[in-house]
Amino acid sequence: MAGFLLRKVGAAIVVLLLASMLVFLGVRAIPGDPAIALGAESRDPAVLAAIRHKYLLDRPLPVQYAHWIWLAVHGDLGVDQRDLSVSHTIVSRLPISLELAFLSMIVAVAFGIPAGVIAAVRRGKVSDYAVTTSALVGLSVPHFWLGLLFIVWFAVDLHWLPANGYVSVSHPVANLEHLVMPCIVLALGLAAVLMRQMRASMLISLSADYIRTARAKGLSEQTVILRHALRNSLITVTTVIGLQLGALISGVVITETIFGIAGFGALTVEAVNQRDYTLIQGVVLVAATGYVVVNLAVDVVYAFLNPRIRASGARA
Amino acid sequence: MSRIRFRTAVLVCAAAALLVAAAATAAVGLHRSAVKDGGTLVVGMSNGEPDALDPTLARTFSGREVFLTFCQKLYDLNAKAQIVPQLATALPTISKDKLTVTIHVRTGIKFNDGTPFNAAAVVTSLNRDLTLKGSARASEISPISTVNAPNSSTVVIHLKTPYSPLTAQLADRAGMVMSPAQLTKLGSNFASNPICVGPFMYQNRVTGDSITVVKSPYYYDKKDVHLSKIIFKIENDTAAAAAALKAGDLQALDVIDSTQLQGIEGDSSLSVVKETSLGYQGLTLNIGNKRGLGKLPYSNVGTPLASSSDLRKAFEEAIDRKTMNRVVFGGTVLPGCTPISPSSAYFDKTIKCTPYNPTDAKKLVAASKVSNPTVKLMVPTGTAALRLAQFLQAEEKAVGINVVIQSIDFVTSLADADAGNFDAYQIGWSGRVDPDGNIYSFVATTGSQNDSGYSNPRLDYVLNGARKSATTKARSTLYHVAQQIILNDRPLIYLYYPVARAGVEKQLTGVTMYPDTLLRVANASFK
Amino acid sequence: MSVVEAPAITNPRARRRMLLRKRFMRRPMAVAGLVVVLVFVVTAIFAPLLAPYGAGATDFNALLAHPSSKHLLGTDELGRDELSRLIWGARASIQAGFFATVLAMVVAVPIGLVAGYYRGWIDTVIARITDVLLAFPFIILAVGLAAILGPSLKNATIALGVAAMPGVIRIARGEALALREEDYVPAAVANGANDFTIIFRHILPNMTSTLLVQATLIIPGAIIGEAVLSFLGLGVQPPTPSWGVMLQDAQSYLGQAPRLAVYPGLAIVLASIAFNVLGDGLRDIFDPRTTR
Repeated sequence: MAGFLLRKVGAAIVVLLLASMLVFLGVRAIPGDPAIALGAESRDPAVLAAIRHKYLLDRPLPVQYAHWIWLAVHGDLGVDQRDLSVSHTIVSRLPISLELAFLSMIVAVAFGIPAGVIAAVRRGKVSDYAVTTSALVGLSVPHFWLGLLFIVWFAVDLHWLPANGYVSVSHPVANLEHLVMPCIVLALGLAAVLMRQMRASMLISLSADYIRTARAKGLSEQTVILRHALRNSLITVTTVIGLQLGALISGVVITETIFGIAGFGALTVEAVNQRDYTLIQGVVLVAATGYVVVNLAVDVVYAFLNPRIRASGARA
Repeated sequence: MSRIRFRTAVLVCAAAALLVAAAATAAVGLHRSAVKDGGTLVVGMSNGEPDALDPTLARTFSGREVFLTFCQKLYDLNAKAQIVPQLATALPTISKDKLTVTIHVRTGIKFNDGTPFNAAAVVTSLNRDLTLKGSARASEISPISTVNAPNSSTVVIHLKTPYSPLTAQLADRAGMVMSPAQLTKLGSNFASNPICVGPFMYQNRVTGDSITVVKSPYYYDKKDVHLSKIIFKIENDTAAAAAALKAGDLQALDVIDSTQLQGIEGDSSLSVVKETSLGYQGLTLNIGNKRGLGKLPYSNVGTPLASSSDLRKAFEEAIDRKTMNRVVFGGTVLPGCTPISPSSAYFDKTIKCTPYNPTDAKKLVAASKVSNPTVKLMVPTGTAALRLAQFLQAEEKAVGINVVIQSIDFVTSLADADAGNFDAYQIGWSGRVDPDGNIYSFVATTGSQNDSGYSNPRLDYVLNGARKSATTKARSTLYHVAQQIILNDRPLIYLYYPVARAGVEKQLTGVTMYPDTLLRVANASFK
Repeated sequence: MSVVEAPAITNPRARRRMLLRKRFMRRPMAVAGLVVVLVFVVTAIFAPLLAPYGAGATDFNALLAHPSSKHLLGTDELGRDELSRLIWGARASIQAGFFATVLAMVVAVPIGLVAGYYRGWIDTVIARITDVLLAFPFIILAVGLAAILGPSLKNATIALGVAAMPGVIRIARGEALALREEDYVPAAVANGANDFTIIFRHILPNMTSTLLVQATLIIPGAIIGEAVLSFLGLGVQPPTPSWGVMLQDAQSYLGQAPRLAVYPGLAIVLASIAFNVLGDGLRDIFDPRTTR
């Protein structure tokens, strides 16, 4: 187990290092001179030169990279165009997105898993078609469009909910009011994936030998489904939830843009629009790290639950 | 809901301050019944987060709004965009050779750390602006050779060349005076606790969230300061900010997006403060920028628009500015055709705009013998900007000019403009008090933002003359000539002046906006 | 994706194809999906003939006009016919969806095949690179690439294609890993076939069905992706409409003309559902395990 863990962690570190290089180079490949962006309305060559010097933009790329990554390892992602600490900005914005993502995940699980189970158990019946159809629609509706429609219906027409913005958790009611629409929008795609996955996995579980045995033993259908089939399927679905993190991050970016939530996702878009090198680097690196760490955790949990993989070391 | 809770919080927080304020009001003698002292004002800032709160280094527009509360300048603007003394006691006296500028400053007043303000402090600040590494001020006041203080109330500035925009620069960040004691203590890290002379003093800043200033006990004119605290809250989304204003989480919001205007105007508890900007929006036409900005001499790029002044005239005649305002901006801007806005004291009513005349434009296009002239229009990304671009495209199509839109992010567009990779560039300027700041760098041959690559010795002569002449009347005459040359040659086609709008709770009085379109809240009070 | 099959039409293959067609026709949903997809494709190709007005034809005296006999779906903020823009918009969206998918397949499949077939260090290297790319969420990768390349339909398509590659590499690799263990591979080796022949003659044709299903599922993702990029200002250049651009324009007028946000969104949803249904149907007919 220790060897397996070590290998996995090692691979994750390599992936992160490569990812950091890719981000670093990618950001520099974006056209537009960051010194001009930093100079705001000043295009005076002397001011621009001073800016380049201050942000090390006049140094060779490897030096810039080494400087950045060395500080990043120590938790310092540098300062952005406004001389503000990137780490600090991310730390202040991230909780907003985490709350949004977490609530969406709860909504998605609360709807997706029972719906998937029902569809599998009542296969071919009306409820199955209802679930599979809504999953299909859920997968096909773009987040941002649904967000726009929600704003039109529930905020502009009906005045039920605030159209946009975020209120801190210190005002819990207002906080939740502002998150209702974004959460539903974000949860929809996830719920659809979970439904499909749950249905497929339950269908396989329900046709497995041990279920037949359980039924033969005369256990009630409810016990068979909940105790045996569901428990097994949940293992698969748990890993799926972990792997949906990437989709979740993408969804957060769009959802926050639509609903004017000043979270991590909106920060990403702002950073790209302002050509803020250090900010883009920091934001994307943090997102990638989150993704890699969660995947690592999923791999480890999966291996723990499924010893065969642990022994062979094969990739899940 | 949150509004009530917020009010309570404000009341609790400000209780002590209220007591003090009440005593102060009593002392002053209750000369104004409608005005209440005390209270915390939360102002939403929609122009992005300010950068370093260091007058020497600061570059952002939003920073200027915060500085207004705690960092006063030698000069300020008034509602008519005229320059008036603030820490100075009168407008500067300028020597006959225009190389020596003498400024008398206030005496007996204090910085917000309790140390005395004097002419020596002004010298220290100006020298810092000139020499500090990365100074964003150095270029603004570069003609200064030396500064000295013969006594505690007199500052004498020696110039290398005559430079009449100096006073205007001293009415902005270059004119801010920093506490020498604090400069000694913090050095280049002044922004961590900036201390100047001001009605409020810096308290703290939460990155990405807010900047807080509190009423100063040292300010020389305390009787006109009523609030006990101002919190500048950074708003990243215009719609969210408007919602916060309506909900009462903010009592003022410095920018209202045109898409949010209806909602704010419809709210009976809110009023809209508006002011026409000193800046303009328009089109820069590439005439001679073939090899990049600053690569002199400029030579004609040879595109249809660059080679034919008639075609440029046709291009402008095709544009109906009135319809543009209605279609693109819902009537929220002020159409115009000069680099100097009606908000400026130098606005020239006698200048005649090129009238909308598609018939004549068609004739000119036909006469130009260029078959199907095509213009690449570079536009920085943004919904309203793209709407304008598509409007222009339709207008030009009607007279036979084919416009190809290239939308590109703002920063890249600046670089492309400098490199000369465009035929026409849809861009504006935020505006300066002194007309020189709206004209010189864009159309003078050596202008630092002459992306057009335009070079006209006669215009250069006129503009340099305007820089050196000291009287308003002489300068007005010269700028009249300059604007006529520009309107005739069309290195730029000016389209409109933006109108800034801020939202303010009706409970709040004394919030104003001058033509610099900064929201001024330092003298505000709750009713 | 009937790329390599052509020269060797043997009897069993033809029979299999007939069987598949029969199975497909028995699925009304999948057939409906195919029909809708074809309608969109035809609309995209013949947009100039179908649209009543030009995509950029403005009428400043009819801004945000309500639907009427003149403008069946009304007009937008510059007085342009909404229906015509929807029809022209199909072009950009379908183009982006189709070419992004083709790009992803053409580049990623050979890479995945090589990784899965040879295994060893080359597999490790490719797997690691895929991991790195997968560490960036699809949309961040696409937005970043589009920002680097500059905004245009072509570049948005490339960005979406590249962003879809890591997923395809993984699938192709997995398939290749499984298929190289099949009996016909040693048989081909015994007959003196080289690696190239084995990979492209024997392994690739056997994963066609998986790839075809995958393609029908990437297309809707790319259509939505194009809309997102255009929505963020990184896609099609105005006045060329795409459904994403139309949605972006509509956002400023949600209060006054919400219908402008409804139509293009419905078009995206419809196209996306059609491709998804088609993909699901194809998966079902190729994979008897999930057959009902």
